[in-house]
Amino acid sequence: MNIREAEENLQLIRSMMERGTRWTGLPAYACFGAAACGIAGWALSISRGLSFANPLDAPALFEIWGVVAAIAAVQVIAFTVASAQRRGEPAWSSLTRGIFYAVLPGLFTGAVLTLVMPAEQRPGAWMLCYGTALLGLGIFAGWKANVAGALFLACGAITLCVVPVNGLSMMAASFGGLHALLGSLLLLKRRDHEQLDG
Amino acid sequence: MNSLTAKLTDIDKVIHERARLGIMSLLAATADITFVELKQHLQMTDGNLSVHLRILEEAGYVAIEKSFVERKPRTAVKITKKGRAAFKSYIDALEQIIQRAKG
Repeated sequence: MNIREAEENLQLIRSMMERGTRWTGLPAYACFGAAACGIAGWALSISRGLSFANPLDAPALFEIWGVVAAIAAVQVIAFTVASAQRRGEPAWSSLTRGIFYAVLPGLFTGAVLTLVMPAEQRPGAWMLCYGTALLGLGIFAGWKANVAGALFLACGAITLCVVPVNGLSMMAASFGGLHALLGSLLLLKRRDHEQLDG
Repeated sequence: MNSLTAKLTDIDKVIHERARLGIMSLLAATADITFVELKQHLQMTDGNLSVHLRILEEAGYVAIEKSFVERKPRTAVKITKKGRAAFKSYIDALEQIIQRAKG
């Protein structure tokens, strides 16, 4: 074997090992669905005159955004499973198990903080925790999820640290706008797989 | 053999074949992987993948487990300890060839 073949084989090993931990099963339309849920939550909150700054609105906002999160999660899971089935891939695989364990800490922390944090701080905490979960997803799904995760963290930090920022507007910008951005990024052409057959 | 080459006999021929090298690399990076996932990643036909997996299984490098999940057959493939050691040795051999060539 010459040096060129050795280098090519090492390159093949690197790319295959990377591919083994790369997940491309998140459909763009699931992200657009999540964005629509975020915008719907914002619109419903605004139409009822609710504000995270008013402690009396906390139970109503908790209900609205709890339902929004549940619907968004269910549609993302349903679309992802359907997409995997269409491609003939198992929806629950070693890779998706890894993703589940990577996003779980962020989501669990968000759920716990929801129970103990004052209402006006919840939007920022949700964005920070969700951003952390997206960065966990990014380990497997690549830079697009990382970009969305980092922007969620930025939105969360701004919402928590800049007092005059409106929590509801930031919820719309993040859970609506950033999900739409992630969906748009996912529509970008994915690099074709290298042929190994034959 | 000159300074830029190594004897092919130094290299594990079971792993060295390009398709099997791809399979071993994927298996080394995952806890276990299904036949369908392997096929998708490697863009190989069922028949071709089966042939290469059989060769790797006969060498003791992979373990194949067949089961049923929701009444559908599921074939899971895992790298064995022997396979991981052989894969590591193969990578070491490649690195030695490159180092030797670069002086």
